Amino acid sequence: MTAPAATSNTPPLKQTTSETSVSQASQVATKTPFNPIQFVSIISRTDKPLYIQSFGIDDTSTDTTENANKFLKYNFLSHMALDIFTSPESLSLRGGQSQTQQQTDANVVLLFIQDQVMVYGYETNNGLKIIVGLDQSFVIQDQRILRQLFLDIHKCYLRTIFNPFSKVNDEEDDDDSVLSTPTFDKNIKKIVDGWTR
Amino acid sequence: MSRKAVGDDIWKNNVEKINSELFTLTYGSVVAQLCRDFNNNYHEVNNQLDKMGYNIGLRLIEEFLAKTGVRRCQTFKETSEVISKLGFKIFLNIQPTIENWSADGKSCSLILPEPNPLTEFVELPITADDKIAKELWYSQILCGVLRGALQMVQLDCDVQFVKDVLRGDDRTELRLKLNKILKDEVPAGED
Repeated sequence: MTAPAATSNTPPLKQTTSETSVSQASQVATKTPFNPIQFVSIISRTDKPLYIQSFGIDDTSTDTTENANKFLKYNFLSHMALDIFTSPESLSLRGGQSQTQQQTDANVVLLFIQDQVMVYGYETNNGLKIIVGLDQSFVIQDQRILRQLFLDIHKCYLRTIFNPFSKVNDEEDDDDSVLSTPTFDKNIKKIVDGWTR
Repeated sequence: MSRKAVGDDIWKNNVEKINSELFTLTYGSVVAQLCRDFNNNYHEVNNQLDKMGYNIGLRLIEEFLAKTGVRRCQTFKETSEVISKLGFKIFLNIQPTIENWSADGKSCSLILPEPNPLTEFVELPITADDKIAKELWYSQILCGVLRGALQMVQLDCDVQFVKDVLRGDDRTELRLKLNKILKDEVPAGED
């Protein structure tokens, strides 16, 4: 419930709800310890948005337009993240990082900070981009824990792709179909909820 | 040595292994392609999987007997034990449990443990097509394999799925039923 570092202040208890992608509107309000993760989104190699799930939305008694606004904000942030991903500064930053790190395949980059949300991005070796937004008040103790989060999300994505009945087809127009299964939502939510910070 | 120990030993030493993900993905592609080819006629897909399994079973039994060298079983109970402790162990590295013996000792249930190498990562797309959960038996090939293999040892059996975790049941259950023991027929002309 409290952040483990000596320097950060204790974050307030927050009610977290989870909202799945635009087509579904199920909301679950639970009193859980503060989880800084605001949203997770996945974008394909060809810059097509595949998936977005938001967390950390205030309880269901508040106006749903506020929830919708927050959700829109997360969508915008994901799009902004794409620009930063391919900008030359970020590429050189990641190139420089990879020389200093032993593991060259797990570069989690802080893309930008906007509207009290820190946006982190991770590009897999296949070009898939995973974007996670963290609340600004959160202080990262250990880069490795953050990297582990991205690896878990990547694994979850792979499990879903492995399903022989999923339509993993580049020619299809509706890319949402592959990842909009309720099981994928549930698994991502499980990873987010269980993330030890 | 007990049967279980024999099985473990053979699996550890005597069996060539392949990557289980490759196996799972291959089988998954086969089933998905069959569904597409037959236009989601799941009864037909089940039949095809059963036929494929039957052909596999006819040949698999030879390898099984060569690897394990088991003698002819005296009772059907023994047969089912050999199937679960040796057969499944050697080829799939899982060990199903046997339950629900019928009164005459001629049929029993095989409960496949999770995780089942055939069905890892698989989810039936219920949202796209809800018939699939009612009609498709994903691991139907196993029924065919058992049927074919047992036929080659003169046991005429019926093997059917009763429950499947992929369909939402609590476990995966096969029903194995012995119809009759086939007697080798003496060819006409000899006596």
